This record gives sequence, structure tokens and C-alpha cells, in this order.
Amino acid sequence: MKNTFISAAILSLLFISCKEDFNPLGEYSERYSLNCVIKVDTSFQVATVTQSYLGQTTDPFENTQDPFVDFVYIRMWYKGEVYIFNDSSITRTDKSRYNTDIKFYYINNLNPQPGNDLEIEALLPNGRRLKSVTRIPARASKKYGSFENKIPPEIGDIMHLQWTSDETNLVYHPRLYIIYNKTENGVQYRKSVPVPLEYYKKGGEEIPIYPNPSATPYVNIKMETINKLMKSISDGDEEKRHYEFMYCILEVITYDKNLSLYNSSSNTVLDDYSIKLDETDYTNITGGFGVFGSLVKSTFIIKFNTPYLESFGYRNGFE
Amino acid sequence: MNNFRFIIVGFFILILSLKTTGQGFGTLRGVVVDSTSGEALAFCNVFLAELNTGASTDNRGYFLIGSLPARRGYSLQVSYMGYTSRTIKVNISDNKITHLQIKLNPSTIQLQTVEKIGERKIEQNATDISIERITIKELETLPKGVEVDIFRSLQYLPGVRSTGDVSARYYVRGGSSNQNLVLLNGVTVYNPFHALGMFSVIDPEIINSFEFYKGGFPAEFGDRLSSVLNLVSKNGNKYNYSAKASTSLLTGKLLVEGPIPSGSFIVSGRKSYSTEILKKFLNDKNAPFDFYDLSFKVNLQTADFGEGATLTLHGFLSNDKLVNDNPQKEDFRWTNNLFGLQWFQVYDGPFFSELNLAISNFEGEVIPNFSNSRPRENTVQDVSLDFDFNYMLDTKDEIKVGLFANGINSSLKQTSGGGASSDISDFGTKMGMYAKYRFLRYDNFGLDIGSRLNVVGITKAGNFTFEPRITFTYNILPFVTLKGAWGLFNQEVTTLTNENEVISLYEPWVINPEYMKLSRATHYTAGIDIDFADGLVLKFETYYNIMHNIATYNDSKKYPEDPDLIPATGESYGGETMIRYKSGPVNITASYALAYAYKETEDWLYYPKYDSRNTLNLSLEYDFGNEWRASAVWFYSTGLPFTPLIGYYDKMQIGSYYEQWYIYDSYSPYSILGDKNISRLPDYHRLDINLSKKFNIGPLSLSFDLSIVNVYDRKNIFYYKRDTGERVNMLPFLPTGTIKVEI
Repeated sequence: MKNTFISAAILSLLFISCKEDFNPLGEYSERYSLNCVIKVDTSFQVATVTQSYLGQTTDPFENTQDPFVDFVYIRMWYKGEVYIFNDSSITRTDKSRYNTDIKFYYINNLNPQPGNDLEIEALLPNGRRLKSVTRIPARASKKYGSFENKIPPEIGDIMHLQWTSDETNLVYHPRLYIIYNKTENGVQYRKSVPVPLEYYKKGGEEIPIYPNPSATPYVNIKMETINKLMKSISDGDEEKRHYEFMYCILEVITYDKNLSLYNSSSNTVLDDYSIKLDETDYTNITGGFGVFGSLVKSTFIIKFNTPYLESFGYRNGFE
Repeated sequence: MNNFRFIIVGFFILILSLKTTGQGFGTLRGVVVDSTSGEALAFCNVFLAELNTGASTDNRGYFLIGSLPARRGYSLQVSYMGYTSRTIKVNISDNKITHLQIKLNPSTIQLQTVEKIGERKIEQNATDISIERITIKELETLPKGVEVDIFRSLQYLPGVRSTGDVSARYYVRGGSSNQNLVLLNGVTVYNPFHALGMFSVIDPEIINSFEFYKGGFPAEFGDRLSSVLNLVSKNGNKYNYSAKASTSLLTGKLLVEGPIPSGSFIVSGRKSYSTEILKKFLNDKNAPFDFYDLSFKVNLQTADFGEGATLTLHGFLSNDKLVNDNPQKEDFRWTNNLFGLQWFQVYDGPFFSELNLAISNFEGEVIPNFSNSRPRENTVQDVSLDFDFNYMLDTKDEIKVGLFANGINSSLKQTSGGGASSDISDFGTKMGMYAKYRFLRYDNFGLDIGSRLNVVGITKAGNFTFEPRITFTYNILPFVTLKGAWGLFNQEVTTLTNENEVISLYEPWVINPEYMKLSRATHYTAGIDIDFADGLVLKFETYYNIMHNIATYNDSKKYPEDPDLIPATGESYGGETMIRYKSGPVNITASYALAYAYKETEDWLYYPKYDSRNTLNLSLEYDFGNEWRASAVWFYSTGLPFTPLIGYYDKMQIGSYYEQWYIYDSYSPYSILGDKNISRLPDYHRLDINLSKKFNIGPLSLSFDLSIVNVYDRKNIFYYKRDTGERVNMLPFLPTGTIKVEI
């Protein structure tokens, strides 16, 4: 009797130990997304419309059917004018997922200016409408008294570059470039090299880290990092006088409010270890997902101090 | 304010006007301690056979039996799990308090000496509904997993749930985890977790006893809506110096204790040395955790502080770091620092008082470096001063009064999922009192009636609020007890954590913002205990809890001016039953809970993530003798809620403007979720076993412990990855071991 009981117990344990099937899929619900990001420095503007999908399995990469929606009538209003998008396509290079060409809608005659409103409407073949509005953000401007005018700074060993905007809570994506001329075989070439925030060593290799988009309206770069880059530009070249340094350019891309929120919700994470089952999905598209936003670029010139350049053996071409 | 003064003055006039003992009667007071260490034995039974009456010791080891007919001798029987029972002859003098210090010898055969003499009689009128009192001896018999963990042991109790065996966070009767109060020597521990909540910071080695209130807790406890875990640490060996060292797969520990002039001390430290085992918890993900906790306690009993006074200085520090050597990954740190000074005074009359001055600080920080993590910084500084006074009347009734004052300074900077930043800093001061009357004059009826009066709340909403509470016990038959409780509970601090986080680094605490109304809960509890003969006990409880204005994280916050917290209401009800059978070396417990929990925010009603309809827990402990012990626990629960996937869409990824980003070619799948928590995960079940052996080699006492978690390797689902739909399971088959050496 005792043995029977023990055997039954073991068998029941084996029986219940089986992995239970689990399917997290609910009932499929068709949704649409519209994406359009207006760039102020071009007249070529692009929009896409896609539809949601759900395959037989939970792996979304098993869906190989391009979710792009054809025959969408997209209009955009700017300063009382209406712009109608055309469709086009280009060859897809990465065919790991979809085997078709990349399709998109575009206009090539709209170059909106900061501070103006835009409205977009996409009418789908099934009669559904996706709508949204955005305002082109103002260009970032130099913040008085907080911008280092020359490299290196007069005090300290950190370049503190701060800017300001008419609006608050926007996201900025800055990048600093060193602009210089190099003479090769008697011919002068203009070159630019981006300045990283920092280098970190990985497997004996120094990896540069560049600023990410963030709501921080400044960037701090250690002179140690700039020095390292300045030195590396002419590494192995004894002819330092062939290098004529012009200036640095700080480019700041300002995202509008919609794109800023979209970026924060999709490009940032709580942290790498917390596990959250429900992330915020920002959209400003009425009737669907996606984003209608805009971005604008600002540039600032920062000069070099001549003795600083000469400490590397370089010439100053922008005195 | 005048009302408050009137209440205080009135109370002391009442106390002074009461006689301590009547003519022809005396009082017996005592403290029960371990004979080898002098450590107080909490919740120990003392029983006067001649009068068929008795008492249980409190968490300091003290007991008091009043109104005893004087000028005669009694046989006092004292029993405690793991100790040899004693019978002591005691004479009670007329109109006097007879004080005893009773030393119990640890039994070499641990479980076979569990004789709770007179237990039924002692507990007859105890107003103890929804309370679990657990000693460390009892905790040691449970399967340990990677580390012995008090919080994880709570999850074996009916009505207590976790969202997975990866986490030590617990949820009680439909309340969220931030509604649980954790006290260490009376001081609030704000973030009692190590390593993403996988383990509690409280090392069981330092704990003497703990009480766990699942609801309806008495008036001396406040500031939380759901439950109270009241932990009391050891005082240290009063007679001999001793050291204990132990190691598990995760941590190394060292404990030193011993006598000092007029007292004792204990110092204990625990440090992680390998996080390899944590990969089992993190789905093979490597997380370079580094944590430690350190606690100390110094007790002094000297005439310098007055007759009957005990002065205790205690502290607790815990520190967690997660430092990556890659600046493109974020770093984390969080710390708890607690310090307290207690003055416990036993007076000539049948009363005692306790003064507590304490500081509890918590700091947590996420340092994003160059990663995409959102920065977060949280500090909480809590300074508290409490005075408790306990008085026993001739009638056996008791009065307990306390004054409390504390100041909390909280600061939180973080960014929401929608990108909006929050900077919430606030300071609040709380002052008030509580009073309760324990009506214990009848052997078959007990009533505990009291209230907290918050004269000044931490927030304006908490000013001049009452929290009345009632608990009663009635023996309808000698072996059948009916119990009930009702109470109102306030909470003025909360955490800003999304409840959909199944693993979170830490929960940042803030004072409820001014725009929130006071969070309040009402508990209704009823139960029946049936104490059959021969060690068989059946308990049944049913509860209904309703919560209003629960401060809930606003995950859809988009702009800084949007509120960080939104009000929610909660409702939970259910029934819990437990059958326990103890006979000789066998201890069998079976518990079952049927529970329903709902939460409603912004007109949306849903099941919270910890809502589990049915839970069943079977546990078997067996003492083979000769210091061999074994236990097995099987846990079953119906599936927890989850939000189903109803599709994917290709979400545009904002690329770098500087690296040729085209919006027509920057997409990746993003899940579309259905109604929140509308579906259920598969059922959960798991068997854990444990085998332990103690033996001595010369002056060394060695303990070996082998545990197997998830014996039959059940693939319990923890969650599914929303970006791929892939399932992530909880702990697999996991054998672990610990070794402990004591000198």
C-alpha cells in the first residue's frame, strides 16, 4: 500500500511537471499608423502609413508581408496651402524581413520655417482617417554667458556648451565637429570629425561615445577628450603644418514637442534591469499610432585659441 | 489642539486614579529567556495549571498575569518550540508584583519537544485575528532556496501573494506592495530589498521574532493600508561570546555577539560574493550586483538608567550597488540607514513604557551614464519619536497609549515613460496619539478597541483624522473561537512605481502630493478557529477590504504639469483556511485561499497583477531525530492576470540625424496590447524540499542545509516579452546549499 502511494505520488508529479502551453495572443484588432517627420533644412518630406498585423505565432518577425498601406490620400496644410503627397519606392537593401521595395509617400516642394503650424490628414482606402497637427520648433540659440567662445575654455578643463529655446521640455540632439583643412600632395581638402563625449576601452579598443538625444540643453566635453581627438587627427604624420584648423561647429537638432515626447517614450528605458509589462506608447495621431513631428537644426561656431593649436604643431586657419 | 491636550491630561488622570492590585491579589510578571544566551523568547506560553489561566510572552519575552489570588503557591508551566518545557513553583504575595526570570534550555531534539502546554486556554480570549507570529526556529524548518528569507516565508501564508518566485515582494489581501509596513525594532524600513527585490535586506540570523498582521492591525500601527511586518532583532548573547559564520551560493555572513558590562551586544554582516546564482533569477542575464547589510544592537541594563530600565541602541545599514564597467550602461545604488535608541522601562506597578527615537534614511539613484536609461534619484529621511505606555488593570484588562511624532523629508527626481520630468520634494510632520483598551476580564471573550488620532498629518489631508479599530474574540465552545475585526487605516506616503513592473530596481518613496486626498482603507474581517484535540487546528478567516484614494502612478504623464499620481479605488475580498496538524516529529500544514481583488483608476476597472483566485499550500516537516530535519512545501495558485497581445505594428524608430536616418526605413515591431490584465497566465505550482543536519565537532557547531527549489522543474511562466511574445519562466530546478559554523 505504501509503495503504491509513493508510486502514485511520483507519477502525479511527473504528470504535472509538463510545460503548459501558453499563448499571450488575444483577438486581433486592426490598427493603422501614420508617420511623418518634417525637416526644416529640406523641401523633401516623407510620410508612411502602415497597418497592424498578427501572425499565427507570437514572433512578429515571422510576418513577412509588408504592412505598408497603398493608395492612401495624404494631404498637408501649411500657411493656407495644401500639399498632396505622391507615392514612390526605393530598393530595399535589407531583405531579412520584407522582400518588397520600400514604399513611401512624399512631397518635394515644402520647406516650412520655424514657428509655423502644419496639419496632416491621411485618408485610407477603407475610409478611415488619420489626422494630426504640429508646430515647427524655433531654432535653438546660444545662451548668453554660458557658451564657451574658444577652445580651450579660459577657466577649467571642460567645454560647457549650452543653448536655449523658446519652448520648454524639448529634446535636443547635439554634436560638435572639428573642421580642418589637410594638405595632401599640394591639394587642400576640407575635413570634419565629430567630437565624442568620452572614449571607453573595450577589448583594448577605444570606443567613442557621442551625445544621445535628450532634454538636456547643454553638453559638457572634457578637454582631455578633445585633446585626444586633436592628437589622433595627425597620428603617424610628422608634417603637422599640413593641418590647418578652422573652427568647431556645434550642431543642435531641436525636436518639436510631439517628436520630443515620442522620442522619450520610445528611445528611453526605465533601466536595463527593471521589467515592465506595459510601456507608454506615445502618439499624436488621431485615429491611430505613429507621430507627426518636426525638427530643426541650429549651428554655432566655436573658434580655436591659436596657442592651443600650436601646442599640437597645427596652424590656425580662422584667426 | 485643545482637544488633544484634554485627551492626554484626561488619560493620565485616569491612570493615576486606578489601583494597581486589589487586596488579596497579586501579579506575576516575568521574562522568559534562552538559558544559553539570555535571548528573549517571544510568543512563549506560560500557564498556571491551578487556575487554568496563562499568558503568552510579548516580543521582548515579557509576560504579565494579574489578579492572582495571593498567599499561595502555583505551578507555572513554561513551554516553547525547540526548548525543554519547565515547571516552576511560584508564590504570589498580597498586593505585590512577583517577578521571575525563567531560563529555558534548548532541546537537543528540536521538534519533538513542541508542547504548547495550555495553549488552548492561553489563546482563548486573545484578540489576534489575521496575525501570524513566527519564530526563527519555525522559519528554519522551511525550504530555504538560495537564502533563508523572511519575506519569502510570508508567501507561504494564505492571503499573501507574490508575482513570481524571482521576487520577494509580497502583496497582502489585494493590497499593493507599498501598502505593507515593514518595521525593524519599531523603525520603518523603506526599501527592504536587495538585488531587484529578489531577497529581503533583513538577514534572518539577526531576527529574534516577527509578527505579521494581514489586516485589521491594532492602533499602535499606522501609516499603511494593507499589512504590518513587525521584526524584532536579537539582543545578543548575555553570557558568552560567540561567533557564527555561514555561506550560501550568494552571500557570506558573520555574526558576533557577547556580553558587555551590564548588557550584551550583537553585530552581524552579510555580503554578496558571487552573483552567478542570480542568473537563474534573471533569465541568464548577468547583473553585477554587489550588496551588503550590517546590523548591530547594544543593550544595557544598569542602575545608572534606573531600576527596571533597558537602554538599547540599534542600527541597520544596507547597501546595493550595480556598477557596469561600460559607460553606455547605467549604474545603480540604493541604501537604507536606520538608527534607533530605545528606553524600555518596567515599573513597580503592572505597567511598562517604551520610548523610541529613530532615524530611517533611504537613498536610491539610477545614474544613466551614456545609456538611454532615465535618471532617477530618491531620498527619504524619516525621524520619529514614540512613547508607548502599557498598563494592566486588576480586572486583567489592559490600556495601551502612545504618543508619536515624526518628520519625513522626501525628494524624487525622475522622468516618466512619456518623457516628462518630475521633481517632487516635500516635508511633512506628523503628531498624534493612539489609545486602546483591551477588554480581557472574561476568559471566553476578548475585545480590543482603540483609535489613532492624527492631530497633524504628514499632509494637510491627514490633519485631525481618526483611525478607529476594533477586534474581538468570543469562545462559543471551549474549542471553537469566533473572531472579528474592523478598522480604518490611513496612508500618507507612497511609491512612484508602475504596478506593471514585475521587476524593479527599487520603489521610490514620496509624500502624497497636496492634490491627493488622504488614502484610506477599511478592513472587515471575521474568522473562526477550531482547536481539535491532539494537535489539530483549523482556522478560517474571511475579509472584505475597501480602499479609497490610493495614490497610483500616472504612467501616461506627458507634461511636467501632469500629475505624477492619480487616485484609485481598490476592493478585495476572500476567504482563507488553514489546517495544521502537529504530532511528535510531524508537522503538517495545509492552507487554501480564495481571493478577489479589483482596482479602478480613471473609470477603468481591472484586476491588479497580484490577483490570484485560488492558492493552495501544503507543507510537511519531519524531525528524524539526531538533528536531521526535512521539509517539503508544495505551492499552487491559479494564474495571475496579464494583458494579452492583440497585434503588432511597425513603429518608427527615431534614428540619429547625423547618421543618415530615413523615416521610411526605420521601423521595428511594437506590440499592441489588449485590455489591461484581462487574461490569465497558466496555473503556478512548485515543490520545494529541504534537508538539514546539525552536529558538533569540538567547540564548533556545524549546520548543513540542502534545498531543492522546483523539484519537478515546473515551467512556471513569469511573464512574456511584449516585443517578441517569448515566454520567460520562473526559477527552474535549482539545488542550493548553505553551511553554517558556530563557535
